[in-house]
Amino acid sequence: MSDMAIEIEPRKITVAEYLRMAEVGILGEDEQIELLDGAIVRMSPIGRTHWGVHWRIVDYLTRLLNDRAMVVGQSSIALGDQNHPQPDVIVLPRTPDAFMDRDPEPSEIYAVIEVANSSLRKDTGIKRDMYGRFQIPDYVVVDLNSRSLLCYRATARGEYGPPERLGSGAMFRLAAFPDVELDVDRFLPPPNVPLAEKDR
Amino acid sequence: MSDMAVEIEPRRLTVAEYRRMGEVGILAEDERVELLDGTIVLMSPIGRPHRARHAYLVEYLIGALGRRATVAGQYSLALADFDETEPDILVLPSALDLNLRDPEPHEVYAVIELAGSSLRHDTGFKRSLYARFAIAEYLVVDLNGGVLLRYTQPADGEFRSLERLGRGDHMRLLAVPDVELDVDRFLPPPSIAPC
Repeated sequence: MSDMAIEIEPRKITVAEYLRMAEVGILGEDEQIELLDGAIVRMSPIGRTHWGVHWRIVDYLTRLLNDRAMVVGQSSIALGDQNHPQPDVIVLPRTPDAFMDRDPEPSEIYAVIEVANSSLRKDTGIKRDMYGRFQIPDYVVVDLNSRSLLCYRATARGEYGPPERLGSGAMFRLAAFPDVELDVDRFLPPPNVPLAEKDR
Repeated sequence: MSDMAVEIEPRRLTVAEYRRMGEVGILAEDERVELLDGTIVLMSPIGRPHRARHAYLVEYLIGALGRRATVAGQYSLALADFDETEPDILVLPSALDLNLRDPEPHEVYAVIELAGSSLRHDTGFKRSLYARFAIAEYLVVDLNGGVLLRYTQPADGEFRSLERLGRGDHMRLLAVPDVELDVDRFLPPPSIAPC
C-alpha cells in the first residue's frame, strides 16, 4: 500500500455524487463518514468524554449567543464541490429562510468547532486546511488530551496561520461576536473528570 | 496531502457498491476508472502507441489462440470484495460463458497490461494484487522499454517467476501450451517512438 499514494490518482467524489450515494443506499444512513477533498473517509471513533464535551459546548454557546446565532451539533455541511464534513459544532447565523432548502454558504458560517481525541492530527491537518481554504472566520479545536483549545483565525490569505493555544482559565472571543467573552473552561471537561479510554 | 494517509481512514467501497455507482449513473459508463483496495482510481490516459498495440495484440491473440481461449479487451475483472480492475486484455477459457457470469480470478488464463507511463503501477501495485489473487500468468508489455515481462507461479502473494522476453523470443501461455506466440507481436515496432 505504501507505493499506492505516489502511483495512483483517486477519482474524486463530488458532493452531489456523495449525496446521491446516500440516497440510493450505497452509503448507509448511520455510517460515520465525511467527504474530505473528494475522498470518503471514516470519522474517528468517539468516546463518552467527547460526547459530554460536545453537549457542554452546544449548551454553553446556545445560552450565551441566545437569539444571535444557531448552534448546531453533529450536522453535515457542504463546503464547495468536494467537501461534506460533519463538524462537531457549527455556529450559524439566524437567517430568514433558516436553511430550509439550502446549505449555508461558507461565507455565512461564523465558526466551526471540532472536539479532538485521536483525531487531533486530522483536525489540525487536513481539516484545518479545508476550513482555512473556505475562510471560516474561527476554527476551534478542543484538544481533549492536553485540555486546551487551538484557535485558528481566518486571514485574508485564505489559510490559517499558527493557532493560538488557550488553556484553562483563559478567555477568548469569536470574530462574529466581539462583545461576547467565552470561557475556555466551558469547552473542556471539568478538571476532575478523567478522559474516557476511547478519547485518549 | 502527503500526511493524509496516516491521518485518514478511507471508507472503502466494495465491488458491489462500485458497480451500483455505475448502474445509477454516479460513475459514467465511459469513465476510465478501476476499484483498487476499495478506492476508485483514475486509469492513466492512453496514447496512440498503447491503443495501436492493444488493437493489434488482440487481433493477433484471437488469431493465434483460435478456439482454445477467449480474448477479451478491456473487460472488468472483479478480484474480491474491494478490487475490480480493468485489464487491457484478459485471456479466458473459451468454455466460460460471459453471458452468464464474470470470470473468477482462478479461471483466468492470463492478464495482459500494456504499460507506458503506468509501468511502475503495473509492475508494482498491480503485480502484487494479481499475485495475491493467484492469477496464473501476468504479462506486462513495457511499451517504452520494448520488453515483455512475464510473471508466473503465484504463491503467498508473490509471483515466483519473472522472465524478461525481448524481440525474437517466443513463448507459450501456460494454459495454452500447444500454441507458440511470437513476442515481437506484443511489442511496438522498433521504429515507433516511445510514448
